[in-house]
Amino acid sequence: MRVFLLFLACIFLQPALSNSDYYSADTLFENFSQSIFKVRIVDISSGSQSSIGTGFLVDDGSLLATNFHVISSLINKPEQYRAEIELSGKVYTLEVVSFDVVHDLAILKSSTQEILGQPLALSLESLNKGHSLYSIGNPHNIGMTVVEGTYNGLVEHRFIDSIHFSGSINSGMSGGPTITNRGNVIGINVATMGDQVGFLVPADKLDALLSRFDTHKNLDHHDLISQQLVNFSEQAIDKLLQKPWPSEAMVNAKVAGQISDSLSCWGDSHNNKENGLKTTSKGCRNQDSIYINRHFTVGSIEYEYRHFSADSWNSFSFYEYVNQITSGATAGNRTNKDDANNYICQNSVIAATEKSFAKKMSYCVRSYKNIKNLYDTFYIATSIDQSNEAIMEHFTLSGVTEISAHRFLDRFMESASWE
Amino acid sequence: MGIVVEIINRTGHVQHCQIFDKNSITVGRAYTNDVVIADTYVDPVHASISCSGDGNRETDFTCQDHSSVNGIFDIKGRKQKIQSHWHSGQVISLGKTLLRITSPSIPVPPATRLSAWEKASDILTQTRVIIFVSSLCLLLATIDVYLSSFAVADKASEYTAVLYLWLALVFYAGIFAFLGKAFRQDSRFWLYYTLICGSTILVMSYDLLSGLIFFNLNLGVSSWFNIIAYILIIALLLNFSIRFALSVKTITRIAIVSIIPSLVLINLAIQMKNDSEFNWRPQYDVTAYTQTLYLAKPKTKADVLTSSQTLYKKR
Repeated sequence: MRVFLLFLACIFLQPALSNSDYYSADTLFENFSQSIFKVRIVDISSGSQSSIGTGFLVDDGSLLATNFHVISSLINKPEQYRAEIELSGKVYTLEVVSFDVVHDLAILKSSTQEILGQPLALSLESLNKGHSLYSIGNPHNIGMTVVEGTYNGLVEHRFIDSIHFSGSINSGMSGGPTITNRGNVIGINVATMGDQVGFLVPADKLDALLSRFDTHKNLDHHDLISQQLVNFSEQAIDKLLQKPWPSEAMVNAKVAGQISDSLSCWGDSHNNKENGLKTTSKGCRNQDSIYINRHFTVGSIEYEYRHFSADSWNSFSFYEYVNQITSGATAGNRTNKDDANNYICQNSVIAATEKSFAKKMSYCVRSYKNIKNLYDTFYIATSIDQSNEAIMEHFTLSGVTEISAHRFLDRFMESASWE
Repeated sequence: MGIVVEIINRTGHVQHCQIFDKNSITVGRAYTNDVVIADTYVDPVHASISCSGDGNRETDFTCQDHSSVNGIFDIKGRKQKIQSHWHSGQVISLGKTLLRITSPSIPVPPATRLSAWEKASDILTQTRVIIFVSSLCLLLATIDVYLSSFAVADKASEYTAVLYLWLALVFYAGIFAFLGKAFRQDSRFWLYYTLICGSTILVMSYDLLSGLIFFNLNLGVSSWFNIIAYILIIALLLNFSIRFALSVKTITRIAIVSIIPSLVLINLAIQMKNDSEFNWRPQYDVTAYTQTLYLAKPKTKADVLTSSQTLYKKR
């Protein structure tokens, strides 16, 4: 009886939730297809589309939300590209209002400032795993498509929140909405790992961007990117440094274990009986990658320790081998010559301290060409106090401020020691 | 009075010399001639050469063509008449053979003093020097393979690299010997062999020691030191090659002789150019050795942290 009353109350209080108002894929598409558009990025000199994505109306219906990576060419080369949508036979050129490069979101408006249609509502409620979701977009430019899938909570081992959507998201659907069966946008399609593993930007990130984009008005786009990345990297490094690092055993040494939940860690070991070489490795890295343009991503954080020992080798051969093995390390993020300067390195030999062994260290820093105050840093060091045994320690941080990198370096240099 | 006939090659080196005490001689392939030339393009009795006067005037020598098939030419390839006039020291071309006609009374320049290089070449071609440089070269190569082959399962194939190196040295010396033979009838194989062995010893010692040099002097991977060291080694190689290969006269010969060293130089130039371009890999120093091999004073952690801050300011 009590359940029944509750049910009745629901009917009276929230008429929108009556049975007939739960959407299925067909009714959902019919209702919202007028608010979801194919966003074309057009190369101005050839007049043809160079890439496509999806966007949907938000706020009062005059703003269109999509991914930053859909419109990144407008930010990097505004003179070469323009964005447009088509609405009942008429083409509207779009302008970038603001963006959130960290969460891969952008909001656009028509250059005529007009309201383009009915906006979609954002859902800020939390769902249970397994909830049915409908993702809408234009995969590979074959036409607007609805894809059914399920909600699987937030992705683990990331600094940047991202919803795991079990359904096929394909290129071209980027920037499209994923909608609950109540008709609210839960997330924005952003990436896929293939095999039904898709990722969505949570709708609250878009809500936050909508509430503060006015403050971005007078900022140059590259300054805004810089400001957002600086905030992100400071928060991420703060999170890594706020607690003492857990220490883990590795052969006869102690190294830092998993220093944050936002990182995922791996380990491996090899014992070659033929030549007497033993190698053990341990490392952690994040899964985040912030898209700036096709050739340039930032936000990766990784560190690794390797232990080498070869009792039967002579010392010179042993270090020759260590040199050879440690010579290939490089940063994990993508860059090219238009976005980054070359690394500048400093090589030093550091005396043993109370907390760590004597080591030979190389520390390299690379600045970015268009984004101020951010750097890629690369650290590699090898212990030099044993004759047939050595530890290599390494980290790379991409897209960090000088202060954050310096604090991390300070801590990391004493993170490994002999037991 | 009298005639001197020298058979010379294209570079002017004398192959054969005959002196005649009479004023007229015959030249041809037949054995009855005064000067017998083994050249199938020369007639059995090709020409006769006569001398009038003491050999100091323009038309002292007269050359009479005996209706030969291929005729008589001067050094520039101009065909001569039946009777042509020559002065002392001029070169006549018959068939494919060059003859220089001189008067015995013409004075010849005094002997050239042996250069220090020529003396050095005598020392370098002594058997004990050859054995010493060969052994040192092979020893260094073996040490190099020994030190780097601990992690390799198939060590035998690594050691065959030593044999290949030795074959390459012999091949290099062979090329220079062949050039020497072709241009000045002097192959000097063992001289080139000791020179290339010496250069290889220099390069290998530098490779073995460079890690320690970088480590102790704290020099970077692509530092000026490395570049200068290689330029010096290559310049030495180039200098030796040119000095010993030939008596250098023309730019073409310099080019031929310097082919191998310049291949190394070009490679170095390409490397230097790439260093200045965008490199997604950090050019860090990988050398690390035990503390016992370390000479300079290590820095403290605080010093390193402070100095690392300058990296952010650079572009």
